[in-house]
Amino acid sequence: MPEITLRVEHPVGLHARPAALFVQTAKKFKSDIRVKHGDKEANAKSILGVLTLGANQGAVVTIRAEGEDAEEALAAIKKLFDDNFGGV
Amino acid sequence: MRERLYQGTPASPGMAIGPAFVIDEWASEWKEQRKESVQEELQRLKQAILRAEREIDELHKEAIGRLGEEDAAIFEAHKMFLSDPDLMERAKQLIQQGSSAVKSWSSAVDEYVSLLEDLDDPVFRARAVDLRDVGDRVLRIMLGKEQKIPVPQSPSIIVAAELSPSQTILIPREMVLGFCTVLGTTTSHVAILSRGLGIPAVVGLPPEFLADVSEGDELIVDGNEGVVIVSPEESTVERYKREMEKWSRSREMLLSLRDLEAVSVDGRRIEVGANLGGGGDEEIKLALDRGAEGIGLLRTEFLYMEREHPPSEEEQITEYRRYLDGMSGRSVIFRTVDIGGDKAIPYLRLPKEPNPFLGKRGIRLSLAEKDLFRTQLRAILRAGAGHRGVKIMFPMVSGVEEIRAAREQLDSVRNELREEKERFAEEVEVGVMIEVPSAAVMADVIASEVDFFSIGTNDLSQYTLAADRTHPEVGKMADALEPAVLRLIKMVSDAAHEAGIWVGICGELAGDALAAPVLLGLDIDELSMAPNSIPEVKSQIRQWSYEDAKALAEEALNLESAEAVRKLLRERKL
Repeated sequence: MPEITLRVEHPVGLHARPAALFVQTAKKFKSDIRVKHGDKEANAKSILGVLTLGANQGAVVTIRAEGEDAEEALAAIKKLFDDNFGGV
Repeated sequence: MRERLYQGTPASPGMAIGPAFVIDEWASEWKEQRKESVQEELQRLKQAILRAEREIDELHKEAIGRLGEEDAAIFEAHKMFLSDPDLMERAKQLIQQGSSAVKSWSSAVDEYVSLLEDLDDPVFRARAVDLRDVGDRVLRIMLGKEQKIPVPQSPSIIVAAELSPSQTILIPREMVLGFCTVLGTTTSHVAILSRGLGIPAVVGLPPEFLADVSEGDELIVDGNEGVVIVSPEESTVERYKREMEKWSRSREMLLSLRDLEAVSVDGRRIEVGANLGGGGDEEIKLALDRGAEGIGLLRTEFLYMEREHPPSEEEQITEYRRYLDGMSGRSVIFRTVDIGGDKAIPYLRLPKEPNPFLGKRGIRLSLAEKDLFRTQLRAILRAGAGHRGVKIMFPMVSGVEEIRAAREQLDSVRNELREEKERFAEEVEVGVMIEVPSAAVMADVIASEVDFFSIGTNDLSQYTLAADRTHPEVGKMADALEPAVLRLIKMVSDAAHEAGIWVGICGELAGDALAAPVLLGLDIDELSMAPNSIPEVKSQIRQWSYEDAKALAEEALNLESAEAVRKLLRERKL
C-alpha cells in the first residue's frame, strides 16, 4: 500500500483552512485514505478525525491510501503540503 | 451592596456600562423520545441534518453581511462537521444497535467533543465548542424546537458561561453593549466575533462572577483591562464615563492614523515600525493596532534570560515564527542577542566586568560564543522559510572586521542548512546597529558591507557623551538631542545614501514626536519605536514638509546644546 510522510509547515497546523483543504482534497478520490500522527490515526475524509489528530506546525504525518487512485491521491496531497496549503 | 470587581482576560477593546442580561445554558438535557424503526430513525436524523445545513447557510450569509468573509468562515467549518462521514457513521451504528436518532446523534457528538477537548493545543480544543454548537442544532431540529435564544429587549451586557458562534451572531447588534463570559480565550469565537463587531468583551472570568450577577444588575465591562465591575458605585461610573470619552477620542485618532503612512506634506515617506521582544501575541497585536508597518527592532534577549540553559533552535524557531506570522509578510528585523556582563546569564558564566557597557557584549560576545551565535542564526533563517521581509541585524558593531566575521558565520550557517536540505529564508537583508561612535565615523566604509543601518541612539548618545545613562547624576547628559549626536546621525545617514542603502533609527529618539521633523530632515528612511508612540510620530511627520524639516534640522545641527535644540523644537512644533 503506498504511503508518504510529510511535515506540516503551515503555522496553524492541520487546523482551520489547511485541515479543510486537506479533507476536501482527500474527498476527491475513491481510495480509502488514512492519516497517522504519532499513535493516532484518522480517516483523511473526516474533518473531525483530522482535527482530533492535533497535528500542529512541525508535526510529521504519515498518509496511506488504498484503492484504484491511491497514487494520484497521495500525489495531490503531497502537492498540497508542498504548496503549504496555499500559503500563510 | 458594595461594587465587586472581577478580573478576566481582555478579548475585545472598549468599555461599556449597562444592565446585565444573563443567558443560561440553552442546550439543556435532551429527553429520550419514543423510538421508531431503525429506518425511520435514520431518516429522521438525515432530515434534521439537511435542515441544519440550510439554517447554517442562512447564518453564514447573515455573518458575511455583518462581519465579512473571513470571520464568517466559522460557519463553513460547521457545515463540514455536519457532513463528516465518520460522525455520521458512528451515529448510524448506534441507531442500528437500537438507540433513537436523538440519543445516537447526541452520543456520537459527545464522543468527538471529548476527543477534541483532550487535545493539548488550546486552538484545537476550541473546536469542541463548534461541534457542540452544530450538534445541538441538529438535536433541536429533531426535537421540533424552534431556533430561539432569549434576546434582550434593550441594550444590555450579555453574560454567559460560554457563547457559541450561533448565539453570538443571533443577538441583534444594537442590543449588545458588551460580552462577559467565564469560558473562552482571546482566540475563541466570542472574542473574534466581538472584535469584528467592535463590541467590548472580557472572557475567562472566574466562575464566582456568574453566581454573583443577576439579570438587570448594572455592569461595567472594560475590554481594555479585562475587568468587569458588578453594581459599580456612582464615582466608579463617573470615572468610567470619562475614560470612555477619552478612549473614543484617542481611538478615533488611532483609527484615522493606523492605515495611513507617515508621509510629509510634500510626499516624502518614512517607514514606521515597532520595537518588540518578549511580549508575544499581545504586543504584536498592539503594534498592528497602533499602525506599525513592520518590526524595526526585535530584541531577541528575552529568549536567553532567566533560565538555566540556552534556548534550543526549535524553541527559538517557534518564537520567531510567532512574530513573522503575526506581521504576515511585513518587515521583521531580528537583532541578534545583545547581552553582556551587566546581565546574569548562568549558563554563559560571564565574568563580572568593571565596565559592562564597554565590555564583551553584543556581537563581541556572539563571535566569542560561536555555538550560541550559530544556533540563533540557524533559528532565524529556518523560521524565515517562506516569509518575506526577514532581516538580521548585529548589535554593538565597532568596525568592519566584526561585520566580516559575523557574515562569515552567516554564510557558513547557510551552507550547513543547504547541505542538510532544510528549508530556510534565502533572501535576507543584513544590517548593523550604529551605536558605537567608531562605527558612526566609519559609516561610509561600513556601508559597503551591509544592506542597512539602524542607529541605536540610546547607546550612541552614552558612548558619544561618555556618560553612563544609568548613572543617577551624569545619566541625563546622554541626550540624543545633543548636536554632537545629531551630527553623527547626519554623517551616518549621508554615508548610507551615498552607498545606496537605507538607514533607520531604533533608539528612543525615534519615538519622540518632538524630534520627528528633525529626523525627517536628516533623511532617515525608517523609525522604529514603542507601539504606543507610533500614532503621534506618524501624525507629526504628516504635518511637516520635507523642505521645512530639512531647514529645521540644519538649524538644530548648528546649535550648541541639547537644551537649545529642545527649545527650538518646542517653538516650532506643529
